[in-house]
Amino acid sequence: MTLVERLREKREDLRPMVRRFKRNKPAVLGLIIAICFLVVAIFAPHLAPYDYRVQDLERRMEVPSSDHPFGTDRFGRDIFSRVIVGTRTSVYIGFTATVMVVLLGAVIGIGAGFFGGSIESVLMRITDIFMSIPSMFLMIVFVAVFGPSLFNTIIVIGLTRWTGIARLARANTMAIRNEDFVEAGLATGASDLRIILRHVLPNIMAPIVVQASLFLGQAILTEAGLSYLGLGAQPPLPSWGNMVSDGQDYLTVAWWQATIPGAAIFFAVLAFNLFGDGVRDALDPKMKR
Amino acid sequence: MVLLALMIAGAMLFSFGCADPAEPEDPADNGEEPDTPDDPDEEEPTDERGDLVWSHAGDPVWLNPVLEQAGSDIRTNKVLFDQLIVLNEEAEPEGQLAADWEISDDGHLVTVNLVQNAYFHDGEPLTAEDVVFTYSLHLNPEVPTRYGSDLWPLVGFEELTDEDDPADFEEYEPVVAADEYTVEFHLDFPFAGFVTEALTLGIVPKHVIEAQMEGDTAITEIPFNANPVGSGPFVFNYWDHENEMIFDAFEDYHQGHPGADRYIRRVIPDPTVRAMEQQAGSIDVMAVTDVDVLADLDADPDVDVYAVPGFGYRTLAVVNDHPLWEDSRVREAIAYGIDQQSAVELYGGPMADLAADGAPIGPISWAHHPDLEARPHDPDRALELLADAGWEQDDNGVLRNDAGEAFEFDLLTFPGVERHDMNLIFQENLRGLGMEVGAREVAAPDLMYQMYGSDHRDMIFIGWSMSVDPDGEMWRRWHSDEDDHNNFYNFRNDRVDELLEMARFETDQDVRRDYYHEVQEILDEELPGINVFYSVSNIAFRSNFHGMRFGADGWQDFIHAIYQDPIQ
Repeated sequence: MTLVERLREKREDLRPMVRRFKRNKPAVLGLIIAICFLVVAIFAPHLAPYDYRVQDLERRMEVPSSDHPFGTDRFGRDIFSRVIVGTRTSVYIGFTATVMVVLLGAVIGIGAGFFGGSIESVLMRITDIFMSIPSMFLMIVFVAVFGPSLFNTIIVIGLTRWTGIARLARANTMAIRNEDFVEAGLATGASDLRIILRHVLPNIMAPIVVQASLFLGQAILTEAGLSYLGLGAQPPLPSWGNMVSDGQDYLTVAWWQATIPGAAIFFAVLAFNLFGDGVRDALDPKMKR
Repeated sequence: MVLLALMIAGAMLFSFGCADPAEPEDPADNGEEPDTPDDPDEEEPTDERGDLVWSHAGDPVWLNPVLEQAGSDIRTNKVLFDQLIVLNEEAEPEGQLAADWEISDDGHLVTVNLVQNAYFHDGEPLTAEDVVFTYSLHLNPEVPTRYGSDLWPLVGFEELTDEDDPADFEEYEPVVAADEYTVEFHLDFPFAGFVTEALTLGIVPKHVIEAQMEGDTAITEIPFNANPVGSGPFVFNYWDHENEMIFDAFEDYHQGHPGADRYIRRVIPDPTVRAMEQQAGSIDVMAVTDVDVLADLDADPDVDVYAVPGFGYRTLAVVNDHPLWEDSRVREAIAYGIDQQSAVELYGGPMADLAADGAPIGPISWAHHPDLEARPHDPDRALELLADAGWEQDDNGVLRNDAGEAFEFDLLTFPGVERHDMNLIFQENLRGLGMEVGAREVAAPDLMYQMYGSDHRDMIFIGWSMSVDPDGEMWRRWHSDEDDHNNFYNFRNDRVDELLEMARFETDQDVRRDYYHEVQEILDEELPGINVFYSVSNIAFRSNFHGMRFGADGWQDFIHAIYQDPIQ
């Protein structure tokens, strides 16, 4: 079978799923909004009309106008530009943290589910320990020790939020592990790694992708929480979280400072959650009423 | 829009929820019974002088001026205990228990004549023996007092305060009762600042404390510390912990009946709630520490806000012997590169007064140098100085030296809105020069820990406090004996050392002023640190109160004179 034929076959396999997804209107809306955020994030430097760092102390806390569609903050910085650049920060952290969570969770979950025995016991007890520590507490301690930065924010979200994926991967791997085709592969002398990559991974990808798409919104929310506490993106780099934090003291006199980035968080998380729900329903038709 | 409105409403509800004051504790729950029927929950008819209600963020710990540590202790003790002298609005000494005082020509003897009509709240007269006893406690190394080191010029100070083998007080007699109402202070060193630094301690009653310390009871364990007997204008009456303290006017006070019948100290931790209570009229006076709260109170016609110059100054400090900062032209470039005026005007507001770059002594002090000023915001001049020091912008606008190293450092400060905002202005100003500057807020203990050592690269935006007599703070910060310690700048200048030493032992204030002026001129030229502003305290009183005086150590030193319009 040629590569083109193989791809065509794959596309045929996906067609019912895509059809189910398209019928789910909220999910499509979520996807559209998510794509908008992605486009804004990718082209942020070109879309922002002002340098997000430049202060204009003569024009502090100006109401939204044609010059500054989202107004200015207390340093006279353009909030529209800062929300755009903040989109890049939040989406970048959301995606990279999600990738890290998936990699870490999948490796541990598949390892536990596939090998069983003492390896499983050790890996799942580690998972239990991480689940029993309040993740926000762990994050604050980590950032306090290693210092706040974008990189550390990604690492800390990755290190504290992988447990759900690990449990999911383990349960699905255990189910696949007892399938005849896996037993057959082992009987033919195929290595564990080959069986995991060729047989286990493709069969457990669907639930992990669903979980990951739902986690994206959570990662953005977590980053916003950390930045709100001053532990995420550091000034002058904007993130939605630190913009809400900066603007909260001026809610009654300059509502736009906190509410606009707050609305951005709301819509981004909503969009990724709707999209994630849609993917889950599309991949698992049994769940659809 | 509906969604936005809901979010705003939610946020406001949350913020109001957080601001709710805690329910006051039931006085019956704390195991203490008030010793008079002054139950604060019962409405009482006010008599002709009325109450003076002050609100503060928390309770004091020690109602004993010998043991006081925190600001809440000090300000509370000032209404209970009188001192030999208090500092007036110009930070000059004014007699309180001292009728007058005299410094001998050689500066080795300070003689204080006490007023002869001062009594403790239990009716016993206050005499020279009480003063001697109070100072003997401060010189006892077993007594945890914060003021012991202020008495360093006294005869036998080293021996008396030796923790391992303290000498007997009687052996040296640094403080002597010459007669019933005359006290002599014998000094090893003729220190001109002795009066303002050492005679401002609250005097405690010998007969009460000695009796309570019988049988080797430590002074920290005596009941006096929570049920004190002082000689100040108000008498301790009632304490509902973390809620309210009540003090009654001392009718036999030596300066006359206080202007209020009761002084009430109420704990309200949240500054916004405090301001609301002040505007509602349920408290009469508060210290304003928040710019937004200040604006609200300023706009209220029933509240008068008084701006009082303070001793605090906020400075950008660096370790001068770090390779990045060792060239004074670099430090001067920072002074030109940052927009100090805008930062102070916009974010310090009425709580800050633009400081001269090199002069840490503010306008409240007699040693302030009136001719020194802040450098203007002049990025071009800053770039010239940096170029002279070997730092030039590359094609990308990044400032680099000959070795190609970028000019990068972090600007650290304690958490706080105004510090945060000023830090971000300076960060952006310095980025404009091509420096790569991170702005970080660090918890206070961490920041103090990070400050020392010549390998410390970061700049710290920190607040110090000038001592009433400049000697203490100027010596601590700028004398080379203190480098790697209080002089964390590691600033070393022989002429400054010499001037500080001469100023310490000179008794003529005019000559001392000249010395301190010259020190500040050198500091302004060398710029080991860049002062940004001198602090200004803001005190809000209900507008029906009068007679306030804002001494350098606080308005509480003159609380007896405060009165309100006749109550209808």
